[in-house]
Amino acid sequence: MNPIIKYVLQFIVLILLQVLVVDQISLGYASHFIIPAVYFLFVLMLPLTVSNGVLMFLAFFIGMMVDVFKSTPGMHASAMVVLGYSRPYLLKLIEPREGFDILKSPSIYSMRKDIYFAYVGLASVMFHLWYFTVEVMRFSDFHVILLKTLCSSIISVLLIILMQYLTVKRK
Amino acid sequence: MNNLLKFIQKYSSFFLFLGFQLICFVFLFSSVNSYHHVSFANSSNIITGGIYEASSNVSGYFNLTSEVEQLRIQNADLKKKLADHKVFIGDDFASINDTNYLQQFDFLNAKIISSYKAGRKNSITINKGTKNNVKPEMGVVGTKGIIGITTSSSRHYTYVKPLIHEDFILEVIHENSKSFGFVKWMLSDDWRTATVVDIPNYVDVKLGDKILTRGSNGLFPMGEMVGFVLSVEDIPGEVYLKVKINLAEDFSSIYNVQVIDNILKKELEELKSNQN
Repeated sequence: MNPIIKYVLQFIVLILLQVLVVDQISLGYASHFIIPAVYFLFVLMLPLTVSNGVLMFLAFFIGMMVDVFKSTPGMHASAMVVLGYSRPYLLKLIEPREGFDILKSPSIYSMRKDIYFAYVGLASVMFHLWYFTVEVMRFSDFHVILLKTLCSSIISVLLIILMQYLTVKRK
Repeated sequence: MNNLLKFIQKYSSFFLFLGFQLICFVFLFSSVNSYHHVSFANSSNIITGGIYEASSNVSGYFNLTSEVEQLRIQNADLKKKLADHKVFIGDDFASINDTNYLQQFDFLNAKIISSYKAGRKNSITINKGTKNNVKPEMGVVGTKGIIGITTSSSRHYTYVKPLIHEDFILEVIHENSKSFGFVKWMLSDDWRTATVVDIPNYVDVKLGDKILTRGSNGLFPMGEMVGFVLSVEDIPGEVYLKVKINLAEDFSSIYNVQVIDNILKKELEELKSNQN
């Protein structure tokens, strides 16, 4: 499949998955703290060769789309831009000695499992931490932000790993 | 100059990052505390509204039974208080004439096609818009209690700022004492609770007392259900109580709502602006 079409499809599917499935999961009282997000996987899946500017623009764009769906004013976009900006540094941080295969886009099969787990985990913590900080907008309630970040990140990572096993083809 | 260009080039992605964040924060701060502000784009637009509606058409079937039951109860309730929503205008000699009563509030049935309850800036989208004369600043009630206030509408959809939004504020009264305060959704509240402030501390507020709308801004009729008192906190050194309430409406399962159009709202607003 043409890679452009593939990424456009991923873009649409991930947004719909986020707003129509993941956001509708009801966990009773726990859903006050567990607000998982999976759509940021789009930015994590972009190829390693993509430039910083394009990366950040796409991150901003998908964040804005989710903002429009959830009627939040720029909060998702802001968190996504942080993620897009820091992805190159994140990859540098967790890069194994032999380096990444630059031709493959990051997925659970193209990377070592523990490295992929760290990649998604760190990205998820960063995304949620920024998002909840912007949302609450004061540091006196930092424990609330941390609790929300921790709970939401764990569930998000589990969902993303599950999605990887269900959708990515082993090569 | 050359050095400056080099500097900008070297840190180009950081400047790009700052640029994007600036855009995001402009959106964020232009929406804070703006009751009348229509945000740049929200879920009332045609594409997102259409997608949400298609999805809710499917998911709506799953809780049809309980919804029908609630509507039955509400119907019975409404029949009982049918006269409450009318204003008596003949004040001298009673004449038997239909024009004695003027209908003040119109109700329009609508369906919630998307709602969020987990964040701090939650939102609700309903499937009625300007085509059905739904305008910004109308009250929305559910089957059990008030839901929120409309803030912007497209042709077919309307975005509602729910009670569980951190910028929401509405005047309410304590049913037994008739003393009034404001209902807000504070950081300590989740989607099942809210906080009433500005009730003086000599008022005897008991657990389980009803908190109703005051109807002061003309968005809701007087006496619409808001919630029940859950706990009362008397803060030392303050003259007001902090009353925590259980919301009457369950924001985790809302489907059928009614939009309220107050025919006399314009008159009320004119009166208020003449006062100033």
